[in-house]
Amino acid sequence: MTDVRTGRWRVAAPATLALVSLGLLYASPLLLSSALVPLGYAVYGALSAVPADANVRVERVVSEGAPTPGERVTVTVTVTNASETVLPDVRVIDGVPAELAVVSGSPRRTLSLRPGESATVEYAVVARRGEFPFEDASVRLRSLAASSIRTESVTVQGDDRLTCRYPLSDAAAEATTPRLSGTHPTDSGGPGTEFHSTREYRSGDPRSRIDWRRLAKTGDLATVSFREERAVRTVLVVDAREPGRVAPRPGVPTGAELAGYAGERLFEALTGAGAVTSVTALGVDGAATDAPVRPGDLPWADGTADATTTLARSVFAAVQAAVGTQPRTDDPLGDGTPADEGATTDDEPVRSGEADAGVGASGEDERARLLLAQLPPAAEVVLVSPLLDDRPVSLVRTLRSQGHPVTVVSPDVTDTGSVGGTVAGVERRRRLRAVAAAGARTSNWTPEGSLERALAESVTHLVGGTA
Amino acid sequence: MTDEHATPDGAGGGDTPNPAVPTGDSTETSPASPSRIATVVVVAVSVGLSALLGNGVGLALATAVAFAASLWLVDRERARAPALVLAGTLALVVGAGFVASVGVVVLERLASAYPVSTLAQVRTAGLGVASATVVALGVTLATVGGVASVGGVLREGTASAYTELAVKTFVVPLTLAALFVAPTLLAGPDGTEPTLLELVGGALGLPLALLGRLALPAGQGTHLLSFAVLVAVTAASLTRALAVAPFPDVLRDERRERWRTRTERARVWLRTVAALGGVTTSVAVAELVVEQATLAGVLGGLYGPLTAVTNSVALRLPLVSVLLGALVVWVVSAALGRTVRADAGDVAARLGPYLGGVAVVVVAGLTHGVVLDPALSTVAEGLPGAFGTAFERQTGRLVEGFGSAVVALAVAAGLVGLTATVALVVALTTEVGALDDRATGPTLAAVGLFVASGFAPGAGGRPVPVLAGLVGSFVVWDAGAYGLALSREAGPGGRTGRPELVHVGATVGVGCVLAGVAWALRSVAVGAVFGTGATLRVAFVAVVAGIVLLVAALR
Repeated sequence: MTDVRTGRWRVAAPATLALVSLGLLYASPLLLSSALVPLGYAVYGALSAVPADANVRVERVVSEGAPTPGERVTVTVTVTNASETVLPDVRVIDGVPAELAVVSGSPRRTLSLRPGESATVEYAVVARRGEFPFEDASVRLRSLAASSIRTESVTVQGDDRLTCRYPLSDAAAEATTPRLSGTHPTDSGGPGTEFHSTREYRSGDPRSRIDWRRLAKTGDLATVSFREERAVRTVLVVDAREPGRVAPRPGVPTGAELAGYAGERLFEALTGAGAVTSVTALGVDGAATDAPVRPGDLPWADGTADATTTLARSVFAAVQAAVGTQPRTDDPLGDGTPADEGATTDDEPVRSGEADAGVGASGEDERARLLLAQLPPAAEVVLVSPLLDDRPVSLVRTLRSQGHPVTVVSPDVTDTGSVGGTVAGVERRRRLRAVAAAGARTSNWTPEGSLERALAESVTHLVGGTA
Repeated sequence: MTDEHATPDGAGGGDTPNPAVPTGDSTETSPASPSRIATVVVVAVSVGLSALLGNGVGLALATAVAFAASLWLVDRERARAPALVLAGTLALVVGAGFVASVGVVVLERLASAYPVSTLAQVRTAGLGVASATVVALGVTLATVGGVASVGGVLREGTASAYTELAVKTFVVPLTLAALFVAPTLLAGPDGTEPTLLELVGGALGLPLALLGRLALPAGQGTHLLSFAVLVAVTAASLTRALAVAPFPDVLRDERRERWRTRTERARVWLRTVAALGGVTTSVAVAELVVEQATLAGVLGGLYGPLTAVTNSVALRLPLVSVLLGALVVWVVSAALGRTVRADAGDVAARLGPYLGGVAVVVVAGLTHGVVLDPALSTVAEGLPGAFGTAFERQTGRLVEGFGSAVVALAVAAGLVGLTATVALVVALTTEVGALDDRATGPTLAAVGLFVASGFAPGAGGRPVPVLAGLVGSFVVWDAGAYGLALSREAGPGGRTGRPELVHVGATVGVGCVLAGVAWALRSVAVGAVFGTGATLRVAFVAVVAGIVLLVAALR
């Protein structure tokens, strides 16, 4: 706590002397007596002080305990005059973590409080990955004449942190995905439980599948085929390329960052439902991950490998590193560097992260071709991309032409409120329509909306529900 | 006046920086804008009390609006070129407003104070006129400061930028006025008002006449001075022309290097010649005061050759030709170079102040017929007795000799120059700390009100406006400084109404009480007889109490 006297009313001294001088010059009783005005102000400033027992209590409430990245979280701070004297000037600044952007309201407020009176300060921040502890509130009290100032740091009661966890990257390292057998029914006949068809007996067919009734009736040997049930082979492709590393405004996650987060949630849902899920990412340095690197510098966490979850975690960590957002250094959930706020203009979204290492159009085509070569036959591809350029559309068309079912989950980061953002939004909607026309399922995820709903729309058909 | 010191973290009070100020607060904006309530208080009190203290506040208000608009225009980033043109044009309005708002009061005061019946009254009347002038100036400054508090447009940066703009704008009408006036001055007035064609012809012919005198000197004897000037100017111009000419850009590598080497060597020689020419010029000034016969006696056998050389047309004409060519190359190359390096917007913005000067010239040219005569007549009528007649006679001679358009142009240049001076004074006082840079507008308004109130009794001001003006000056300064600190700490969009009203209300309340006590004291003092033992004792006690209070307050 610091107490300072500003001496702002010292200006009255030369004013007093000037009036006395003018009074003598003009021999004016009015001017001589008027010297009392600045003199009185000097005394007023000297006598005015912050009460010794002045005391302020501050409480904080965070509206959402576990928000998703990009979600707005409202913080309400209640300031109460806990002393017995009137506080004419109370200035409060809540200790917002530096990494969180205030998007509405203000954590600052100037109040005038009677004894026992309370007032609230409300503002909203955008959640980011990591755990962000709030700092103490700064409170500055001024006397009535503003000549005495007391500044103190007040411990805030109530919520003291904002935590935004990623499902996979922030889980304990030893956690593994339970391996369940697949239950996805196919149109081909084979072993199973549901009748599919009969065919002529071939040597070597198991005896349990011989149609004994038919043999008894007609004497012909036939083999019963059941609807074959295979494990779903899904390949999750996260688009972390440079065009997607833009945010609608500073402090808000980028499109690539949201794609990484949605990819982790999808991976968790798919593996939890027993789907064999491989993970790869576009626009990241494959050598920087623990996962095997396939041709085209694609990190590949194979769903059939023993440590798929560990490998997938490595790929997702590479995505987060590439898009430029990492948890705080003191964050127990991660080991990255502080988030890069970046700069912005009125018309352009904020760019962050390192540039894609010189991958041009031909390089992208080559990667798409090489990605196709990695895909298991009939694998379902789930592409998570902000769709801020035409490459994902070309990739989807190529995949569909090869017969791969494709689902596209796209986080929307074009809502900048600017003309540029509006144009980018129009182009993105055109791309969504283009991939839908190519036969892909599409799911549009607005960060302010529910990710659960977007995921349900996109992958329910893969985990056994109805799409 | 000084205010509480705001720290870089936006906190006032001069204490340690606050580490907990969030960097992600999106409400941080311009640090120089007082809050809305503070702005309303500053504008209302300063303008209201200015109206109470002085006459003709309407003119001061118009001046203030034009001044504030000019500051806002020079601070704009968008449409910068037209904004600067408009701001340059407004410099004429601002200057005219200052002169009118103070001049009207001075003329009225002069008309009422003079003539005097006795010699002893001259001093009293003079003091009254001087006081009224200071009051009018204070009222104008208070109004200007109050209006310029809106949006915090008056700052050291904007004042400096406006000074620069006004000076550039000032150059155009001043140069034109000088070009129009010079031929008449050189030839002497012929008693008839010159036509526009004659003015333009004279202005265009001036450089030619000058070059003619350089090429063909008139009169007998030596012409060392003009010859030395010609040599020095030609060498210097050629040096600059060689430096900026884009010849190397059109040559190939080897030739380019060769050209650079040779021109560099030539420039060294030319600089030496220019320096020698300069030295010779300073020596040759003696030619103006020394008789040719004396010179011939001193120089002896050298006089003849010197006369032949310095009068040689064969030498002077090539030198004049080279001078003209070098000037053309210099000006064109420099203009092209700047144009190529700068984009169109920058070029337009650079030209904006000068285009404003052109606009001032156009305004002066279009309105001189309807503005100049009434203005001069008004001043002549306002001046007492013989002063008015003398003024009318002198201005009549000027108008007849140079033409009303030229006189109007010179007056317009003077008004723009006055604006530049006012802006320069504000910028300098802000820079040296005499005016607080963080609340320049409110501080200027407070100083204006204080000055007007302090000098108002000398101009016959009544007690109530004087006391109200003094209290108002502190209220204006306090509200502005407090509102600015609030705006910085809570953000300009923050809800600060209640604390501000409480604070300003307290300041006004204290001021009213003090004014009441001062009024009571003044009533006692007016009735008292000075010099008696009782009044001296009371005065002594009051002075001691005042000193004690002042020292205690300042500790």
